[in-house]
Amino acid sequence: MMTYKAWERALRKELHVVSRIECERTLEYYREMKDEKQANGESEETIVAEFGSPRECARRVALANGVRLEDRAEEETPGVGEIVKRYSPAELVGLGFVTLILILPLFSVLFSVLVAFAAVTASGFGIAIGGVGFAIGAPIMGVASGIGLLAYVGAGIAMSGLGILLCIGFAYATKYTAIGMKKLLIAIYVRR
Amino acid sequence: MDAQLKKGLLEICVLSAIEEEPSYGYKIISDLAPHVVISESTLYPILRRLEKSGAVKTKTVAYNGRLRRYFSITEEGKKRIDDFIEVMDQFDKIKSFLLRGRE
Repeated sequence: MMTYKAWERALRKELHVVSRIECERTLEYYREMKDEKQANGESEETIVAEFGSPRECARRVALANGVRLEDRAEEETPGVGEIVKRYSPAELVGLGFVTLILILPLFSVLFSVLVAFAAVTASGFGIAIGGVGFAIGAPIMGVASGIGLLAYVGAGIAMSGLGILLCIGFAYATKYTAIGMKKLLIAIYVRR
Repeated sequence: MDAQLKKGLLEICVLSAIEEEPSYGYKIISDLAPHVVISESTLYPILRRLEKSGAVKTKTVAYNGRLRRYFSITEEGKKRIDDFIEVMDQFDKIKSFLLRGRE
């Protein structure tokens, strides 16, 4: 049995096509409706069943907001077996050859870039932690006093700020590089 | 029934359900139930459309430790009901014309 919380989570996920405010308004509506129904003696199981599928609810809300969910639905990525079936044997040989001399080297480079971005993300996190330690540790350990101590604390804060920026910036770079690689692979190999 | 026509009819029914006094989702469905069956997932988009077009306005009120969003009809909403009744009068005349030979 699907609980109301699970149903709401699923609806929230489906509502990604509408604005955050619109999404919250919709969830508020269903929460209120659930509370009213429960106050009138309905069980959670019945309520969830009456609400129907989260996807259908989201589709109707999206439509009221001028978004057709059917249009937005991304095509499912087929499995390897399905992809292979879409090519003739000769095309498969050609594709294998192109993969070997062109795509494999290209993706080796892209993968290295991805790993480098991930490494900088991790380093950024390390620098941020180090900076915080530096700013807190300097006064505790009594490495300096007066202006000197202020300089240590300032440097620590600057370090952690730089670390956070690096961490966030390169986390996004890693994410979008990975997404880009996946899209590129689909564009190259998946015949629609 | 044609989907657009049904949508228009339901909108008018919802407006009519809140014409006398402001009401909330659960009560609107309960009040309409003897006349029109309308699900929760159908009602919400209708209410949102009506709100966006200025036919209804909303107000959230605390009730027994939970929140209720009350929907009330605006002048624009009332005008829509009046316009619809006028169109229905014309439909009645057309219906009489269509049935004249069958009686």
